[in-house]
Amino acid sequence: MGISFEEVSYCYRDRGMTPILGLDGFHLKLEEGRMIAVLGAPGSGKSTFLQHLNGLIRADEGVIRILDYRLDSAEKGKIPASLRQRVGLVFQYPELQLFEETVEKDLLFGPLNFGRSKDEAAEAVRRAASFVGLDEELLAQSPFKLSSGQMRKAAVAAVLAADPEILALDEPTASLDPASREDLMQRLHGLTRGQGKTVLIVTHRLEEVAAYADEFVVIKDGRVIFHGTARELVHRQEVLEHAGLMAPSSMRMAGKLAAQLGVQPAEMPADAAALADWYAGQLEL
Amino acid sequence: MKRKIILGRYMEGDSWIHRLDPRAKTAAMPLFMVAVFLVDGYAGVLALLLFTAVVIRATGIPYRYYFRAMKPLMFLLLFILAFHILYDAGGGKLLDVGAFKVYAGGLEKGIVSASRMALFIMLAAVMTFTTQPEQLAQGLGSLLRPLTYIGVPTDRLVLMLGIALRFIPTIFEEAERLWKAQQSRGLDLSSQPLKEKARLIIALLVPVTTGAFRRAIGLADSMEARGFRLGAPRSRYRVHVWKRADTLFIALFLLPVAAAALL
Ligand SMILES: Nc1ncnc2c1ncn2[C@@H]1O[C@H](COP(=O)(O)OP(=O)(O)OP(=O)(O)O)[C@@H](O)[C@H]1O
Ligand SMILES: [Mg+2]
Repeated sequence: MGISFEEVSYCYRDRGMTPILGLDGFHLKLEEGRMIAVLGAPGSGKSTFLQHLNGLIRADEGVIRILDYRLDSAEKGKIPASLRQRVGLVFQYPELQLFEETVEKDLLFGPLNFGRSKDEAAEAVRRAASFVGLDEELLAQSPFKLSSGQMRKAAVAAVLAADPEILALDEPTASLDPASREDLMQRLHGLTRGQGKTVLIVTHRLEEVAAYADEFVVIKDGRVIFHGTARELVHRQEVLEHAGLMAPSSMRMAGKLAAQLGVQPAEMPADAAALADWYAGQLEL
Repeated sequence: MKRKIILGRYMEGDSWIHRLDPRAKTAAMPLFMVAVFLVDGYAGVLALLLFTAVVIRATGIPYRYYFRAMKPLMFLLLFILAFHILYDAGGGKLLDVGAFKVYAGGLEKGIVSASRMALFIMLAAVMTFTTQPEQLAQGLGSLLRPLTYIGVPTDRLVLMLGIALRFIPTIFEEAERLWKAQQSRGLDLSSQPLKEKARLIIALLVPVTTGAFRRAIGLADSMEARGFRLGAPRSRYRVHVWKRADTLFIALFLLPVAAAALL
């Protein structure tokens, strides 16, 4: 169970003749019911990784195990429809994900494909829309008339409506305002705690996931170069540098405070709010 | 959607054919067409096939890409062949089974006609594989330039052609990403009966077209926002310099013309 990638490699071949490396010996094991943040510089292979999760991209080499499915590179058999239902994927660009005439039809697309009745599907859509905070009035609109933040919410809702067990989101908070961003993070985190779902989030903003993510995965050039908790990452800021990422200010501050107070960075929280509380506690001592 | 249509795509490369002036390549095309239409026997076809094989070799792109380019049109080629074999009488009788008769003349005509088509596709593939669409349009534009003097709006034509060429891959990409988005949310064509399959594929065409239009409008806006005006003077990104290789390339295409005329 869970998710496991064993030495998975994949090359993009369709542009011209020179293959472009997507994943290169990608090795990762994840448990269910957790929130996992996926970080990496642009072009490092984050989106490529996510698209392997529900078989949209099939590995050239290696074995992928996910839930109780085994996606083998050797026999490129059919992807069972149930995998697509159980692993939901929110694409990086919502405008590339939506296609129906109205937002409502788009949200219904998944549930109906997975064999829900009309009523069940409509109910799932209503719940998903309210979960992401999408105005019900917008359901009758064309998805392409929405603002980019609304479109983003619609894209997330469209995937949530199918009630997947594993939810993989490619930069879901890009183009969202800070309030909706925080809200979405909180709700996604709630899914892992309340319903035992697994949530993978690709993001460029370490600080926004620092408070929520249980685990961090850092990718560079199609390989996993770090997998651990936020506290371990605070510890190893050179990993972020090596991956071409910038440590958020809270982490840099944690590092400085740790040096000044002479404590182990591993004892310190990584997100800014928790760090402030921790520091206040230290001052009172 | 694994097997993509590749005719009309540009393949990156660094062969001398890639580096030729696009004007030379567009000028060679009509020459080759003349040769293709002059050809009327096995010997000529063979000569042209040989010539094309050499040109393809020089592009550095494997032969199988050219076969793939031809694949969607295979049916048409077979149809042309069969048509001539079945309906053209002439020359000695080769085969006679009941109502089914094959004549040497019919066979030759069939093979020549199908090869003409195949040759043409292969050379078109050489052009598009080795030349970026904008360059191809620009090359054509330079060749057509003299027509401006008699009032033909070549600028507009070239822009239209350039945009059309630019959008062929976009439309394929559009179809592909929609396909991905729908599959990701559970669309499964293979489990559907044939009729439903056809309906779903046709249903795909609507968002593909609207998507392509939306992108075209976005593109036009972004071009305008960056100061592009139709007909306004504009400096070229790549100024082409006619080199000796370009002259040689065109001269090279006199070979098939001569071969076709003589053989
Ligand atoms: N459809 C495609 N065709 C060809 N190459 C691709 C395609 N998609 C991605 N690539 C290449 O694969 C590599 C990994 O890309 P990927 O999209 O996974 O990066 P990413 O980490 O998601 O980047 P970003 O943060 O910019 O979204 C890049 O070098 C990219 O150029
Ligand atoms: Mg990406």
